[in-house]
Amino acid sequence: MNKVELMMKSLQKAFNQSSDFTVRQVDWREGTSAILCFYSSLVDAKEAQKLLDTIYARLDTNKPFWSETIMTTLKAFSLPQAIEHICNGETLIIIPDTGEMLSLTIVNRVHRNPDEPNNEHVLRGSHEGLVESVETNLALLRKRIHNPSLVVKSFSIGKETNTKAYYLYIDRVIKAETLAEIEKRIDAINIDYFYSVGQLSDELEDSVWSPFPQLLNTERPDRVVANLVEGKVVLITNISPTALIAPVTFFSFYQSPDDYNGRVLVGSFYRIVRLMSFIAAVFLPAFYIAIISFHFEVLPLELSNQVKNDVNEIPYRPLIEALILEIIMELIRESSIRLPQSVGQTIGIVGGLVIGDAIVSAGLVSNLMVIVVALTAISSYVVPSVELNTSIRMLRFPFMVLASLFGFFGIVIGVVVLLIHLINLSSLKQPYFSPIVPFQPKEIYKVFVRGPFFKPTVQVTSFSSPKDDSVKNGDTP
Amino acid sequence: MNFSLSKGQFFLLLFFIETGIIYISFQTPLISESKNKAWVLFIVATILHYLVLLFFERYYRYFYLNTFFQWVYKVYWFLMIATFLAYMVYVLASWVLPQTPEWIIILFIVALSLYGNISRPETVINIGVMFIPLIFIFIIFLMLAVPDLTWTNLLPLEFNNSKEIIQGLIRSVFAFMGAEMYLIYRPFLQKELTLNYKPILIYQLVIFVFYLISVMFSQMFFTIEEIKLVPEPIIYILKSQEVTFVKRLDIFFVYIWLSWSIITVLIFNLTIRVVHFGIGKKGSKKAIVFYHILLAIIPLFFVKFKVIETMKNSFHYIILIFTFLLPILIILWNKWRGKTCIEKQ
Repeated sequence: MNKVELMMKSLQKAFNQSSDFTVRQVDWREGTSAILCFYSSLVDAKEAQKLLDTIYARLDTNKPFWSETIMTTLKAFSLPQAIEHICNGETLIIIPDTGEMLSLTIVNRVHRNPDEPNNEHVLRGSHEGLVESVETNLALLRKRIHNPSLVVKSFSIGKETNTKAYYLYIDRVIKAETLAEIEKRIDAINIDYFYSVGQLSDELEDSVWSPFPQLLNTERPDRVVANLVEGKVVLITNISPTALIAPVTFFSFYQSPDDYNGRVLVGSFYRIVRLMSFIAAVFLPAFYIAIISFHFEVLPLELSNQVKNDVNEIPYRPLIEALILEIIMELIRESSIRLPQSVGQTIGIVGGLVIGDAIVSAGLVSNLMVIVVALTAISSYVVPSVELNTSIRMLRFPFMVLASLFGFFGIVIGVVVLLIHLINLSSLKQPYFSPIVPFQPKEIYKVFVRGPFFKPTVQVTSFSSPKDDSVKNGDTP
Repeated sequence: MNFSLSKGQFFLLLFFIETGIIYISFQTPLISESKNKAWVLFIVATILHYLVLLFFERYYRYFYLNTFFQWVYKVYWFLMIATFLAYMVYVLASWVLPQTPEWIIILFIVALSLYGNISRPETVINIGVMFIPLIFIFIIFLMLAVPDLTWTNLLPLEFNNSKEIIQGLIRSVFAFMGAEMYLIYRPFLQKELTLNYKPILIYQLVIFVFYLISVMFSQMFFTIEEIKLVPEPIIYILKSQEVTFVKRLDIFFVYIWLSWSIITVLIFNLTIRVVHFGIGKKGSKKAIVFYHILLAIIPLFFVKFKVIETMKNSFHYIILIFTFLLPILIILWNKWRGKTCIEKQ
């Protein structure tokens, strides 16, 4: 067995005789042989052949830089490196006689078109979305920032999967402590198999057990850019269209690109509406349960009679009533996500109208409870972030239980716990509840109002109050 | 313990310390004792308080507590919080939760304090910010009582009874309970920040207006004889307001007062933590947990009508000693010896 055959055998063995792994002996110059190997599933064969023809033509002319093209690299052969190149979708030509290998980077990249993400629709502005390809995503971002200050750094996650991921920031805009912290956390990642962006999120978050997301997920390039210019760091991977943004504040999740694409007053109004929706989404059912169970006397007489008549017909306690409806709501939501879009709408109608009406007629829940739960559901869907939306829906259950046990006292206890938790939270060690913590009276209005587009602002980095009045908090679209 | 305060945070902390818990109740003894001139005496007490704050600002460096006085203050604050907790339970039982066992309410409030105090100090320092809008709501709804007020109740003013004047002043000073914490938190103010008479005056005006509204409204809403029967006049005023959307406005305000008072309890406990562990030390969680277990047990002995009444009738004297006299004495003593707390730290 000659050297070429031996190498081919060892390559086959290294790739576990995989069906899509192609290894072939080819003629090289002056009667010598080389080994061509690649994953047929990852390589654009047609383009690779064209490039190979160019290389052969150059070889015949004996040019000294025959291997130098944009898509080729010649280096000394080493099996681990060869494996890495092939796994990255490159075509490898191993030349046993010289101990070199030539890699052709012609990868057959499979990805969608950069269409608008389904879960982040906007009325005005760009309708492009990130896709499951870093190159396309970077192109979408570089299209918006024509500046070498936009730094893209790569790292791999997963000891076994070796998935490429990237972190992006704008040099001189990002704060040194933010960059140092993200790099520290990236270095500490210890995953064997990386297949979901959620794994990365878990590794980078400050408090995994908190119901509140500490990284902003987005599939919109305009949102990514808006955050980059505010000194935040963005992480993208090759396997998901989701970009993770950090550090963020609680209020970042209530901002939408529409606030900034529209007029100042309109954007501000809807931002306030969204923030108010948080209160309704978390507290409305608890408030209703507290009134019905403990504080009936707060209702005006006319309403109180009506509510009494309505509630007297129901055999269950208000908490059970609320739980029945809330669980039905969650079931409808889950089923409409899993089903095809056309059927999903039908489920919405069946759930909303048929079950809603039937459940009241059957005397399981009262009309008022249907109104309360419907309002709560609508309020929770107002949040522009899917992560926070799910967190809020989950949060109302403990509040409902507290209200049914202790009335308004339970709600007060829950509110204080929630506030302490939110104030304690951090995103990349930076205050999550800024500008409340640290208290910046001059910045609080930005939570509610989207100011005119003069200057982007940056997030505070410490829980201590900023010493300089010019330090601003985040105000990210 | 390591943290720094901005001016806003510092005064917000002081506002919650001074107004929490007693805001709804200090008017009754004041008006009962000093009759129509209560509001004038309160203005005088406010001026005295402002002067004391200026004195504290000038000499706060000399407020060095040795181990003995540290324990004196820790015990004083602990008993004060225990009393406050008992009073909170008592108010809740009278207004909204007559059937809930006292220990459950105390347990929950102490658990909140524990959660807040095992967190970083900034949590307790800043949590009050979230309740600022509620204070405005409180005032706005109090304004609904304006048509029911009898302005002539403020007059006539007679200053010939010195006993009434002294008692009125002492009870007015009750409103500024906890002012000694100015001296505790002042060294934590960011080093480059200076406090002159102006920010202190602004703070004083804010707290003055906030309190004066409550004193004058109570005086104008009730006659002198009526107010003796109403231990929480502000809540009663709110109860008597008729609005279309709710029948019992007072219930909401009892809970606003409760959350506001919980913040005050959290801050008081933070102060004990600051004094116990000192600046720059992190402090042990075990000690904090042990302290809170004690705090959950002791108030249970105070939740009795008689005990609460006795405390209400004698607390202003204790406050006078620990809030004003003792700090002034400590400052003067240390100034004479030339010892400052800054040197020590």
